[in-house]
Amino acid sequence: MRSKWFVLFSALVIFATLLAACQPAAQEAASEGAAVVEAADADSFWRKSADPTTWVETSIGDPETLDTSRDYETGGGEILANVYDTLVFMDEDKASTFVPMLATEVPSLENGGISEDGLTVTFHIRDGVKFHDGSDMTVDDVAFSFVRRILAGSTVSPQWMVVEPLLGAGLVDISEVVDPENPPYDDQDTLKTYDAETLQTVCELVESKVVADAAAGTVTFNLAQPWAPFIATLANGGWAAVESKAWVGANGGWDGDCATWQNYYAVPTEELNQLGIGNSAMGTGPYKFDHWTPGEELVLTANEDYWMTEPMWEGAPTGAPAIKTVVIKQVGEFSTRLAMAQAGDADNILVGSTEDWPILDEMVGGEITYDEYMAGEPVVITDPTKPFYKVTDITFANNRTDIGFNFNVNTEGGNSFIGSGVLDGDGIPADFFSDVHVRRAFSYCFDYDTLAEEVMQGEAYRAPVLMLPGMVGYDENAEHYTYDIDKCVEELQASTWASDDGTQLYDLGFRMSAVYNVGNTLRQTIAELLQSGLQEAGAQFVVEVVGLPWPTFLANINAKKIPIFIIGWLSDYFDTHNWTSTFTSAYYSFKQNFPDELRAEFSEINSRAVQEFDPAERERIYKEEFNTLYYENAPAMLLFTTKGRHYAQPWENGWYNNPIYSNKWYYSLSKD
Amino acid sequence: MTQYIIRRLLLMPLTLIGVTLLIFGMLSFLSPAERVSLYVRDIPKNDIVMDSLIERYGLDDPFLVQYYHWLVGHQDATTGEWTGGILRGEFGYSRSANQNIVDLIKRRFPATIELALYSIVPLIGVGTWLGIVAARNHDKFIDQLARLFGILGYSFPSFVFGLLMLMFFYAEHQIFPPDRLSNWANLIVNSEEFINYTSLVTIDALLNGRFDIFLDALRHLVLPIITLSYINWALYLRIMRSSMLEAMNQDYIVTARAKGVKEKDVFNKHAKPNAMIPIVTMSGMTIAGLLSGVTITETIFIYPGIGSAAAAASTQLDVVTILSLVLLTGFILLVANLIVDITYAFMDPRVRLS
Repeated sequence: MRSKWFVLFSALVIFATLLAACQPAAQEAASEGAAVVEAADADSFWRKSADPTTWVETSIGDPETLDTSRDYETGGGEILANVYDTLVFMDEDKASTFVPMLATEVPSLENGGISEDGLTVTFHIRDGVKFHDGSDMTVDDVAFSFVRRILAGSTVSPQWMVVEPLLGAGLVDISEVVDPENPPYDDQDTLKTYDAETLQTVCELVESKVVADAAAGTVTFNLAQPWAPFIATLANGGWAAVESKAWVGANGGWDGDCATWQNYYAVPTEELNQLGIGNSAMGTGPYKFDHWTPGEELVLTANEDYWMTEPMWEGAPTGAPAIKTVVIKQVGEFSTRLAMAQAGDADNILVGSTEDWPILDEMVGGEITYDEYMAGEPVVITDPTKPFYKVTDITFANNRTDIGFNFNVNTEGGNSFIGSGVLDGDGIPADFFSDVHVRRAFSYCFDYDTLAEEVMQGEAYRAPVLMLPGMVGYDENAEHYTYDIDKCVEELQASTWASDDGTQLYDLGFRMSAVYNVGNTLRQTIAELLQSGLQEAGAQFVVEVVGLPWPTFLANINAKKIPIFIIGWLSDYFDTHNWTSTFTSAYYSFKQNFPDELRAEFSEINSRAVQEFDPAERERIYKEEFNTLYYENAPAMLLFTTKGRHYAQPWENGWYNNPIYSNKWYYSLSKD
Repeated sequence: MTQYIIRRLLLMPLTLIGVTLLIFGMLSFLSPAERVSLYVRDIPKNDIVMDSLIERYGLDDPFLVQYYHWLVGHQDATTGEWTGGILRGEFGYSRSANQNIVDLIKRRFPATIELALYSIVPLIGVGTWLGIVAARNHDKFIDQLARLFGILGYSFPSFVFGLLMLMFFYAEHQIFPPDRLSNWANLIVNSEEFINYTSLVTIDALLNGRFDIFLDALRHLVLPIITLSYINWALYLRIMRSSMLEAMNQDYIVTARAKGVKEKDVFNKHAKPNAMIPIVTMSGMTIAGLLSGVTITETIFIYPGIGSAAAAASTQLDVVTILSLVLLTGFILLVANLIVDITYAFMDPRVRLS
């Protein structure tokens, strides 16, 4: 018996010792409640980096490819943004204000860069800019970059953003120009079967859309229709990068010969990544590509001859980058990333989700709001023994999570998400959400405040309208749905749905599923809040929360089988059209099976607005027409955007939040 | 014996094909729309994308057609040219690792071998030694302590133990970092001035005359080795201890003692060799396991071995990569099994291989 007690006691002692040993030292010294410390103590917080010229960034997203024509994700986007320059750029953290970059000025109606009819946009190209290989950047390189990418095509690429304004609204891929009736989407073999003349004509058409004039030093874009967000589209992303024609041709890409472009159309990513254009990068940007070991790291080195001599905005850097080496390491596990940051081996602190915030808050020794930070106010130090400080209240975001209704779910092959499939109290009919009263009822039955307080830890702002704050048409005073059970009940009672024997929806009730992908706790909680809100309206309204593995979730979304699903959108460029069009004319309108007449109504407004160059009129169209129509029809439940936070090492300088960036633009950063 | 070995070697490809067929069959239960998730990181922004990807990669082809393409390759209908097919030596492209599978294995397998090489002695040696010490001090304080140590190790999930090690030795004290090398060393190793002779960093560092890089690589190996060892010591301790205790009660030990053989010799020369037989079997499997990659340890310590690549491939349903890695690990296991069987025959003359 004595030995058993000994074993138990020893186990407890060892376990307790291990736990104590692993308790962060900073935590031991922590004081409850944040009190501002003396200035002398606060100074001790500002520790220096062991290596101020190397930036180590931990990441969870390896680039898919480095080919500017294909990459459409943030892992690769970050590399392209640092290696390549664009014609215009965003003014520091202001995503919808632009400054010239490789162009000498931002085209506008006033300076004549944009024609009166809005159909031509001319950029004057900067002289004396060199690529990393030492060659001169020319206007031909600029025009070639856009032509090549459009012809490289592929529906998984971001080229639709350039194709639409240049070749016609609604088009997404060059294959639709080759054969409008039966486009050979992503099918190079079929494309090659078209006659040479057709293919040559298509190539020349694209070339006529982006015209270089070496004598004038300009590149002119000839638009298919006026396109208000055109400048915004060209201010960011691989789709707007300027690359070297010679380098592309020498590294496995198209060389500019219109007789051969079909051989470079929709090349699979795995083949691109065997080529120089896919596994390396060479531009005019502040960083040179050094090497990429997929799944492990990607390294950039400073372009010591960077051409930028004038700051793009007040306080912006010029000349060679301060950070000489950028190492982007793939570290999937949050605990490992945190350990690297604690040890000072990582210069960023990458959270997995807002669930990681409380863990990090324990390690925060200083705090400041984003507005104060940008105004140059000092960080308030509350505990200099802790490793990080945080910037709070970052309200400028480019993504949101909402709930979308499927107006007519697919029942082919059965659909387990709609119960019995008829209105009998144990299911819903396929077109259940075609009734606007049902959609409104759901919108009233959702506890928005609980979501904001408990899930988003109070750091979220409600979306009253579809577009984000800062975008044209945003109106924080617009009429929107709030949690109101009485109104929810009223709408359910007003529904036209009834069973075969005439029992109305409210008396009969229903059963259906709200679906999320397993592991996404935000989506799960949103589904659960909807479930509980409807139960509040009546026990007969049953929403089953169903978690599916990502592949199964994706397959069901694609098959349009899910009646109500959590949707998310990340802006490609910072303009209202990227949201209004996506949600009501294009992508989500199809995923949600909008009735044709509703889509047509929205599309008419979207089309007028995107072609409107008068900002006031564009604003009026969105505010008065679009927002009203969206509110009345409630095709989706607009939820919240989480306020951002930035956890930083004490030696970090020069960071700011631009929501459109794919992570960081390292040129602006430096370290103490 | 030779015939036995040849027969086992000849059966190896068939076994491996059988294993891949089984895995391929299991993965085929997933619909093409589910398997296409490998190629899309989020809900696609374009409605055409998924159908187009399913067609491009033949995900809706019949099961046997897909398996045939993986095994033998594709023949172009117009040119008659063959591409792909592992029988033609083309393992394909790993979408989850963004590189050719051959390149992936070339880069990751040496890292796994290096970790295994440095782990074998502390893992098997210390575990076995602890078992011997415990058995020699049966029911004494040292035995109790060793058993307690073993129970704790066995009870700790490796990711918890690994994280505790990481927090203490790295986050708090910056003694033993994760990854394979520090940044400064990594930049040198990736530069042209450093010659990769074996792809085992510690050995290449010595061959390049860079003792600083050798030490840096060793520092990075410490935590994975401790984690792997500690969680396995319990097993070796228990097996060796019970095997020793069992051996010590055998008639031949009683006979040896009756003949007046010294207790030390009874223990070391008579009991220990016989008690080692189960350890040999376990060691073979342990080494095979280490060479197949240690997923959790590699993930926590961002150690770029084959285990973390296999984990990424599995979670992303990267069938082509999974199958190639299964072939590799299957091959390692079969070879390890064969070596264990042969070693067994040498250690125990009663065992005859036929």
